[in-house]
Amino acid sequence: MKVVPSVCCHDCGGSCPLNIYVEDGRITKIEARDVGLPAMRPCLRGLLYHYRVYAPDRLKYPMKRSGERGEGKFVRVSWDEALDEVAERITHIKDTYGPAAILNLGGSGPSGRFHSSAALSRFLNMAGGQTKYWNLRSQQGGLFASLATYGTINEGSDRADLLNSKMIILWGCNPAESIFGTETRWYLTQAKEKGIKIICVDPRFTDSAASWASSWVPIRPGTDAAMLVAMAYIILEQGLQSQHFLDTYTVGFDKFRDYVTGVEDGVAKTPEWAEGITGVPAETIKTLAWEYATTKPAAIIPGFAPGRTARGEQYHRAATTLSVMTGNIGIHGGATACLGTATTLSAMTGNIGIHDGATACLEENLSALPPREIEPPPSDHPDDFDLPVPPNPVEKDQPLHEYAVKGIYRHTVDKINFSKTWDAILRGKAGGYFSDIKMLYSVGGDSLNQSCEINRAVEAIKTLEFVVVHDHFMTPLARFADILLPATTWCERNDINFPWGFGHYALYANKAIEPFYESKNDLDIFTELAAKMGISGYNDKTEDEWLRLIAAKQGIPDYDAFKASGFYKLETLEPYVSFQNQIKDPGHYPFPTPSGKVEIFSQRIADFNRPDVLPPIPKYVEGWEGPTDPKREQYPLQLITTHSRKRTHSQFHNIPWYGQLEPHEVWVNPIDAKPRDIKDHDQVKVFNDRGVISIQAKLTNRIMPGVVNIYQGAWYEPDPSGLDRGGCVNVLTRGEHSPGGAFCSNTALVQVEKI
Amino acid sequence: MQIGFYFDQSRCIGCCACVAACRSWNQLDQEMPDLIQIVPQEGGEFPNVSLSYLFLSCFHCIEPACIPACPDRLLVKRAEDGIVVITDPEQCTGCQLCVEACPYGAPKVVTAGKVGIVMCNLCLDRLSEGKAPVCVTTCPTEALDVGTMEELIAKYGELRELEGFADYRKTNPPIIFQARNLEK
Repeated sequence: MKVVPSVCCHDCGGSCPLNIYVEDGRITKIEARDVGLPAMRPCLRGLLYHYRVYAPDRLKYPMKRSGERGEGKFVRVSWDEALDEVAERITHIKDTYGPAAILNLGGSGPSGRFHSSAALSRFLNMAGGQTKYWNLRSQQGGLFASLATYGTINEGSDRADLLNSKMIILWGCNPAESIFGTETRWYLTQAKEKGIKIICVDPRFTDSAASWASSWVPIRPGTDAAMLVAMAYIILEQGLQSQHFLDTYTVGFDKFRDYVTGVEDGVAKTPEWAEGITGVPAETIKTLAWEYATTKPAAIIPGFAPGRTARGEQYHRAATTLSVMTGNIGIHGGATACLGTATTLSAMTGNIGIHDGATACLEENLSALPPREIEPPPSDHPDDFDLPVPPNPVEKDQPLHEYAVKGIYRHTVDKINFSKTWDAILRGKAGGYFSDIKMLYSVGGDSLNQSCEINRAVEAIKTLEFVVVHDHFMTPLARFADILLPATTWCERNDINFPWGFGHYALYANKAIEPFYESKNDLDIFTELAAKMGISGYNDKTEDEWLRLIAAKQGIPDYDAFKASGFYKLETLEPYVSFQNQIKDPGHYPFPTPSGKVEIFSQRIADFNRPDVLPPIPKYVEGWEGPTDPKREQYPLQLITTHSRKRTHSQFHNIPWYGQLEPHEVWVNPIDAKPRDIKDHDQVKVFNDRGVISIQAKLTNRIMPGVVNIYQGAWYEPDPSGLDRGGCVNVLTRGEHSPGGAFCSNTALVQVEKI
Repeated sequence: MQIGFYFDQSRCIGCCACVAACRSWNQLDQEMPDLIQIVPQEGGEFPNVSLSYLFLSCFHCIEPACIPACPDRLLVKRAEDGIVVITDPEQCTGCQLCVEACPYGAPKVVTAGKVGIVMCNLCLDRLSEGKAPVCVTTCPTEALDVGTMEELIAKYGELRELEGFADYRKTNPPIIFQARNLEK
């Protein structure tokens, strides 16, 4: 029996140390690994990961489609046969239509820094190019707001700094289930016990609201910006703003003030105005605004969920502005109130290190990091990160995308917003897209199940000439593959992992077991493909050399010690807080924006010239399927698609124990259930113009009336009539994005009926 | 000596990491039941809603009801630490009289393979190595602890009753509670 130090590599925002017990080459148990920090404990997903590794439905061999596409019929083939076909088809498609006909749908399912979907990007670029998507589904709204307002995504504070706050507002944020940084649960518990007032703003009474908050403010989805703007109104009316702070560190506050007070458009953004939009009583807004502005320091901790709405960028921009107005930036106990991703090892050591998918909208900002208070350890390789991805030949000399807001995003016209993937496939050049997509290549994710408007996706995928998928299971997307290749899990390979944005540490995933049956690492699959296609230099280093390179780039001083202990943390004298220099010494330390200040008014956004949908100051802008949409007559309920503790997105859905932990349900308030004659546990259908799902009802007061909640990630399972019996939320969400890029999975009107 | 649990309900976020850790450490297949249950207690009407969680396991009662209920005398309370264990699981006929007797439903019925019951043994293997049970070392908010009753009372007070739990007078479970602070 051996005990292997490892780390759970999933896309939840955390990164948690585990001991993997292995006997006779098989994992027998997994335990929380003690790294001396109680804040570093794992959740239920990592602790029973062997259920997933050894699941009876795990893919064992390469397979080739034998029935109709999507029918789910496959025959086993040899690796050689499978890869010969992939190589041949890629070559044919590239030669016939050009490389832009190949769409890369790499996902972020494996969160390791080495074995990620960057392996696909690297391969396709070396093979001649590809069509890539832009849009980090999780947080594109926040990313936009952060880049526009602060000029960097390196903003935020250590979770430990929560203990320096006097008041914390968890806004659309549920780390009790979604994790959102391994340490978050620990420090919120400590903060509550220290007597720090915690408020939760959310359409649901979440486990986080129940566990940490002294009060819950239910709010209609997609209206958060209206409430924030009304809070700004009260702060201004009572003169509670930090005027010195605004004068010294910001630009454009006067324009925002004119909007808030009604000088701009004749509508004062009063709490009464916001009540009608948000459903939050005006008195509640007034009290919260007053408390927030008079309790110092105070931290708004925004979840990404309210940003995943039509016009979700405005929520992030408004929250940030409120934090700036009250002087809560760059100080202990405050918050940047936007992404909060400044505290990773990579960010603090100068290597931004974000998933490959994000690079499309970040390239320009990689160098725009704020000066750091902490001297980073020396890095030998400051220029690249993770598995290096060479430039995409397709995008060479292409002009910027229409949504590439100058100076904020720099992606070129060849890129598709993820929300428009299916539209792009269906309409192609004739529909104004850059290319006619003929082939889809998916690694590390189920971009069918986890996209929007799935019924349209199915239609689109059926038009393609060739589909290749690497995965662990016969996922909803894998069913549509022509060639389906079995991939390894993080237990079967060496890797390095660290959290999304919260915590300056890294963990080493030591390989615990040999690959399951014939499964292979994605990187090794592409190495073989590259050899078949005559591409040289694809994998020109050993695994150990690659990992040493990645560790060095993260500023990890002693790779061998790190591999042996499995844990490295950059120690800081005090909890890290971004922008401290900018606040202490603005003369020497400008913000990395064009004005050198926090841009409440952004000229870069103004230049986009679409004030109706993307105003240069934060505003409440009603998007589609909002409070006044006439569609409400037909579909009166707002759907939110949230994160369950029992899944990481679509992963773990098929593992029986996780499925049994709690049933997959639609949360309905009894007030909405009564007129529909729906009782607890009734089977209901949830539907709109985009599709219909069948699901069990959960009657609960934990959801506000007018809103229904379904956890995202359940697998799409349509019956012949088109009814999705799997209860996948994305049958109902819309394939459209906000102009700043935000993925709109929390904007959808639906109706619920008893079956 | 009597070893018991401490459960801080104000810290429990309902995440079920303890349930998973227990299954993993005890190498339970997916067909096997959970030895720990985290049970939500929802109350109130919108918008005045409450939610708290109960932690249920074998509490190794001071006056256990399961032991006299077993017709084959397979359950034993260890003299040295008060932990209730199944002495010879192979002999268990699966009559479930212990399950009916326990106010906490702690003995869990095995439905796959060999009939019988399984229950928490406070990670005897870990205790013998000086390590706390795996649920305690896993909880991300440190809502759980174990110790002798004297230690627990000295550290955490004497609260023996908590809403939602069976009356402690029935079987005298050695568990100390911290109630959820409902002062909002």
